[in-house]
Amino acid sequence: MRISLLPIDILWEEPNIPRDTLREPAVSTSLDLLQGTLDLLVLRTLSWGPAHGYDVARWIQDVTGDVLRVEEGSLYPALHRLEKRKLLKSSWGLSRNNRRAKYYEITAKGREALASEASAWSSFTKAVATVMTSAERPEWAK
Amino acid sequence: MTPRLGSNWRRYLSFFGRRPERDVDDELAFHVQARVDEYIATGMDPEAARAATLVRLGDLTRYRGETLAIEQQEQRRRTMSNVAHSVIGDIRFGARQLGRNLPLTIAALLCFALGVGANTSIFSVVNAVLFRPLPFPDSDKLVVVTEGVTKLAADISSISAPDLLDYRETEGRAFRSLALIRRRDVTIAVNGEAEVIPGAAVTPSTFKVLRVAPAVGRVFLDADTVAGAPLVVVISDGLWRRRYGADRSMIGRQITLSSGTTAEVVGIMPSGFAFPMPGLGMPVADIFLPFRFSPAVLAQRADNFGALAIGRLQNGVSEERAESSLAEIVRQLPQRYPDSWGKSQSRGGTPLIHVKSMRRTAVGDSRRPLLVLLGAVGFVLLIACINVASLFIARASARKREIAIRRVLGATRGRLTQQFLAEALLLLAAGSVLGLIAAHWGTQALVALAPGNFYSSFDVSVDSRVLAFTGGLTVLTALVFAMLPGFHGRSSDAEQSLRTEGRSSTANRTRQRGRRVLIVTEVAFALMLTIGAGLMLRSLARVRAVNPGFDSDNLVTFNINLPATAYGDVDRIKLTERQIVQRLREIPGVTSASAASGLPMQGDWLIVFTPEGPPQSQSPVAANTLVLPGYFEAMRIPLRAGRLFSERDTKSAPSAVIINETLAREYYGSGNPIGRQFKWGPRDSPGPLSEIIGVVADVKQRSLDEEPSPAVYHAVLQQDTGVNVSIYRTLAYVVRTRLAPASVAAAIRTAVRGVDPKLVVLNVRPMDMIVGQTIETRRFNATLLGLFAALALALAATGVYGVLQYSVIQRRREMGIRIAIGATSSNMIALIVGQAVRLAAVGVAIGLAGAFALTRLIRALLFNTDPLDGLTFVASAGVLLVIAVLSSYLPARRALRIDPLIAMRAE
Repeated sequence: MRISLLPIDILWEEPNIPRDTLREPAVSTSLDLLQGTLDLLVLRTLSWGPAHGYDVARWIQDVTGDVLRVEEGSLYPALHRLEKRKLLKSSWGLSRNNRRAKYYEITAKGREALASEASAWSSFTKAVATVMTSAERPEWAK
Repeated sequence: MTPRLGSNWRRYLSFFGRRPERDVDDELAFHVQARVDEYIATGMDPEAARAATLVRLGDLTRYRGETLAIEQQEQRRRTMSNVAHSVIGDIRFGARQLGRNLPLTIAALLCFALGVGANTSIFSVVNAVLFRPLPFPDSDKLVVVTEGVTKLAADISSISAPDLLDYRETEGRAFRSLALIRRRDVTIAVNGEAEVIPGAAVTPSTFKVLRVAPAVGRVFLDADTVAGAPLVVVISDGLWRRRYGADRSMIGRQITLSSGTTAEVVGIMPSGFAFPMPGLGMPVADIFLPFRFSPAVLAQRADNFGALAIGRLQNGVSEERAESSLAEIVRQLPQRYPDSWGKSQSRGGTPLIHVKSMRRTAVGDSRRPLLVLLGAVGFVLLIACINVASLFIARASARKREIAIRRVLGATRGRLTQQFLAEALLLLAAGSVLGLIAAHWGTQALVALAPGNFYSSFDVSVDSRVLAFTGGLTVLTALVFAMLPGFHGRSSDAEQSLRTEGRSSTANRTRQRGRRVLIVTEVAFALMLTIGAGLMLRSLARVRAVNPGFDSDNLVTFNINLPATAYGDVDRIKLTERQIVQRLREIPGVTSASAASGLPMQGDWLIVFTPEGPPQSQSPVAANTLVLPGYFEAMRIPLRAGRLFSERDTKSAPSAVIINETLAREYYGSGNPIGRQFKWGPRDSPGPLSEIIGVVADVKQRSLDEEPSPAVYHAVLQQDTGVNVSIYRTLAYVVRTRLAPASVAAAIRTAVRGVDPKLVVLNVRPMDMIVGQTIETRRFNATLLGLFAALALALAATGVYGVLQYSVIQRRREMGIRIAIGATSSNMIALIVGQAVRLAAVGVAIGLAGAFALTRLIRALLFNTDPLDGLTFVASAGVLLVIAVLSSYLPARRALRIDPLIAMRAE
């Protein structure tokens, strides 16, 4: 099982997802989220404490000012996948308005993964940012 | 918060399917509801809120699918524990099902227990004899050393004792150590009751070679073999328990041998120590004496090849290398001992040496009969399995409605098979446990009943290999059982089965065909077994009908040993023996009596002889017997030419011999041999020439099933001193009586005591028994095979009965109609019996073909019987057909009793 959460995971073909669902292009007006990135966001969100899927969606939306506009449905494969990798654990509980809801909680293993992936993420974004912001022209363009 | 929406969503989500997905659907439904609620809270109207929610969620079908895919992968990992769980359920269900039909369950259980019990018993023995090492440490290093003489017209399976001293030069190189064993039975007298104990004189190295330590005390030291050393003995655990009540203080105790000498018991061997073994040509010994290389023994170099030599190979030394290093010494023997080996080489040719694994020697000829028995018992198990399978199918048919309903409700074939498997396994596990218990007794019985304690010298016990064998059998059979009914519940049948269940006027053809195939197979295998057993039993009958060359009826034999201490003088020995014979003849009811150095069927004594005429390429060998006058008359061995020995054939008369027909034919040609010359010993030996005075009929020397071989008879009264004294000091007496053999035993003892009260009468036995013992192994194997065949026949009969009975029940509507429209009793019986005969006929045809191919394998076990013996084939086929007809009788009667009205309403 792959442990890496790097965004490069986009190349990762999950063998258990039916092929036609993978082939279908994600049609979305908002920024396409790399799969690994969503995992990172979920882990980070849950690091504040147990929450159900809707809370997670709301939190990401609130914090980012809805810039990412994550398709909320995509959260659930991510949550279940993380749970399967034992980075999360879940239990059924009651929501604030007394409805049956599934609560997710980050595990110790999840926290470890979050720590290592977060630093990998920041070096990744930093590298991307460097490229994006660099004013120096490449050799062949001079 | 509108409940309507929630329930709508649930309905929408439930479109995807049912239970396993419910958690995911609930989770998604909660999210949808929460989002919709929130939009409504911001003032949207419910319809718009729902639309916005769907947009917000994205492709819900796809996300749900992905989530489920992840969950199902998880699910698969949990399957193992689920299977375990359902297996427990299946076993409970199976136990209930089995309990519901108790007679069937018990029948199946017995069939299987019988099959497994018989198989495991035979396999335990096969395992011990053919697969397991001999019960000695590191036993694959143990070998037997035998000598040979190129030009001798007989095989030697032992060595001339003195040579061992030369062979021991290889100790430390090819061999770790070498040992010599010689049979020496010991007569122990306790409270006037004498008993002959099978014994062996062994070199002290024997225990080193075998690597066995005594349980108590010590084994022999070299000091025990020095001339003049006090006599010490080591006894077996069996003798210690049987004769001395397992008394620990036996060590150091003196026991009295019948010869008057005493011996100190210095050691007791552990239980389970059995040596030598029948396969090595000597019975298992209960008492061991030290073997001494006395001057008398050393004088018999290159002669008296009667000692068993065994050795333990050095690590990494092969039998071939050991043989070649011994061969080097053998080549030097003629130079080292010109008087013995030197002369022997000049007339007998080069001496030979062979080194052969002790295991292979010990197993000997017993390999093929064992494998045949294993095959036979395998057939029995197969037939038992077919019977049980057929019972199961019958039940599966009875349960076809249940199976059909479960299939329609969605049970997969795998699930159903798993269930049948659990049921079958439960039954077979119970059967196997019963079978193993049966096998425990069966194995013990086999070992106890096997002739000559043959198997007891092997390590016959249930070990992991036997258990694996039984376990494998069980699992294999369970798999077959589970498959058979499973195939009957094929999904395509399910619906049809439900539809036709109510109105089946004739039996379902496919199902019937399946069971018929089983019955045909069963009959075929039973026939093959019956033919095999028939051939063996026919051989046995032929062997028993063989004329041994003498009349064994009402003939009693016994031995008397004239102790050397009291009978040193040759003439006194002869006189006493004649007195004993005289007294025996005076017993009322006794018609004749005499004595000989050995009786037929009790081991032979081969000598090299020189016939009249030109030298032969091979030194002729004949079985020699020293006899007292009246021997041939008492044995009723017919005289073919010349005359028999009389009281006048003594040392003062010319030396005379009597030869048998085979010797006369092979070495004296077609002419009359009477009056021609015969010499005991090789051509250049100094022995006197004897005159042939008579030719007698051939006598079976070793066993009833042997070919006739040359034999010669010398008169005890003409023998002189030398090595032969020890032979005619211990004669075997024969007494022919008009009374029952058992009734003269007391009179014999009285008569012998009348000559010398100190003499002990040993081994009083009817000659019939001795003759019977020589074919004991044949009888044993034939009886076992016959038993298996009888079992197979009984099982096949039950099988045919079961199928027909079931088919009558299944077709009772059809039968009812037949009777209603006027079928007569004979019509009905013809219908049922005809079915049985047709089934059996096909089975018989296949079985005959199988037997035709297989009986060749037992050719070596047959005696004067063709493996394709027509009578056996025809009779066995007839037996199976008759059994088929008989076993269809009950079902036919049942068919006749059918009341048409009830039958037609029945279903």
